[in-house]
Amino acid sequence: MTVCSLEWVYINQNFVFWAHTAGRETGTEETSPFAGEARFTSYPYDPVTGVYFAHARLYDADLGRMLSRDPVKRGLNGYPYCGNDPVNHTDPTGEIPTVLLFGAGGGILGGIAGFAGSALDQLSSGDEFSLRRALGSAANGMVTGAVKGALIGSGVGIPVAFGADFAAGAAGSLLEQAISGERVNAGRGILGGLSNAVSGAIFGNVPFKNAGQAFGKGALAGAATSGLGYLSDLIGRQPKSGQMGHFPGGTVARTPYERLMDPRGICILQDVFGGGLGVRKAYGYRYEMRDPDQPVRDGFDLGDFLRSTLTGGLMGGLSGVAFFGVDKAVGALKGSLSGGSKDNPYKKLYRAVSPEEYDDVFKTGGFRATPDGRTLEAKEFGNSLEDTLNFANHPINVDKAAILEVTIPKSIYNQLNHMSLDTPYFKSGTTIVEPDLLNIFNKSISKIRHVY
Amino acid sequence: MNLKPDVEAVFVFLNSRKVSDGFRPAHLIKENYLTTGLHKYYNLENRKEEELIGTITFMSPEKYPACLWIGKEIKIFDGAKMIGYATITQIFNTTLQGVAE
Repeated sequence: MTVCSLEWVYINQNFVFWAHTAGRETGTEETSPFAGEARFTSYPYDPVTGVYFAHARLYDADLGRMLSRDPVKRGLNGYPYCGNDPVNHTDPTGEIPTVLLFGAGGGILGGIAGFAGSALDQLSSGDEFSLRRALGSAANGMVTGAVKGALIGSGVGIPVAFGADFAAGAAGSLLEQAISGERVNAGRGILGGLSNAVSGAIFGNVPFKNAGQAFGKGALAGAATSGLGYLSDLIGRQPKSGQMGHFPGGTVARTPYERLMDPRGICILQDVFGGGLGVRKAYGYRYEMRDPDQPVRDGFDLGDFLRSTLTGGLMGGLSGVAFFGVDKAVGALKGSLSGGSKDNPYKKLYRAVSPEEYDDVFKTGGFRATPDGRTLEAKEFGNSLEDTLNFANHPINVDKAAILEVTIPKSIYNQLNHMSLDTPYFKSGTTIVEPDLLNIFNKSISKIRHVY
Repeated sequence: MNLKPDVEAVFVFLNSRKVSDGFRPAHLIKENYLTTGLHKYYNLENRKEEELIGTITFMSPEKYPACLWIGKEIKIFDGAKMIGYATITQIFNTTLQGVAE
């Protein structure tokens, strides 16, 4: 039997699109019988014209293309669906993908936070304010913030996010060094990437549930970034004038990073963090090349470290709250573009559960596919409490003891399966979470509460 | 409402799926209509190969009258995935009795 890719079906609740081209032979599995009725990304299907109404424009499933340009996107080609990457993105309103909106918002916020953080750090440490240094931090924040925003918008998994955060952190760090007038140091770039990846893992890629959580995660991530950044500054630091201890022979001096330096300007050993930048620079008397406006760290100082970490934590917390605001703003923007200016970005779903499942949900914080022979692996939710209550009261559901209300972002809801099932009971429709989406679904849950 | 079974059927589950009494998957009872049904199995302990014999109690048989007959195959789903099928061997609920297509 020829069916479309199940993986694709699960992600996009679409049983028609790409089934035409992505067929495969199997004798064991089959997709839903609702091929003709299922709606991709909640687009209403017009059986007469054979296209889908994507609110802002029309979508042709056979072509895999929108039939008009994206009214928001200003690129060379506004016709593809989700930048030709429908597995990772959806476009419920037919406009610019969420990933771009989040990326742009993250870039702006990251730039502001980077500038403000650097300024605060400089002023609190008593240094003279350096605009170049603050602008360097702003550029770093812009790069890492844009990537972080895009990652949140795309909802990609941790491994991909870690790699992307690392690359963004390294690129941002190198850019910061270049703009702030420091000698570009690859080692610091790598540490910048590592610290950004670590803080990214703390920050996560799932939309925040509330401002408090946003502040907490942001503060933790910011503190980690600043702490690691402080340590990376130590590694890449330059010696201050007069701090080199002259050897008795008077020919070389020992720098804080254990290179023997000839006072005439040539180091005897290659700078271990200066790799890739040329022999002359690697062996160069880097101190003389330093921008005198750039403050340097003269060694580990606990007070300095704590001050830097706390400042980073504060700025990270504020950035997290700002990101939370961007999330809301993007929801409102997309809502206004699709005609619903007061669109709630969250959706409530209801599930009738047995006492065992009830305990398990509150113990684990989510729903699990339990292969016990009685329970379905896919989890069925009603779209309204009244429907779910009617369903639960049917005699065949005698084991159902409670109804849970689950709040999830609409961006996640739109990617779930909305097949018609038990329509006399579920008049408002059902939402099915396939087993391979349970992990993402659970992570996206904003709130679970017992409502009946 | 009662819990009398509506039909008796022979079940075949794909990929050696483990099932037990009380299993409530979705059934494609007729074209474009999925409904939940409660399974009870006669021979769960002495299961031969992939086949199981048992009964199904549907959620709302009054909503899809005259759609079953002896020998009809009903596909069984877990979410969007077909996990097996049931072949009707007896119809207890006369509301469901129809004529073979």
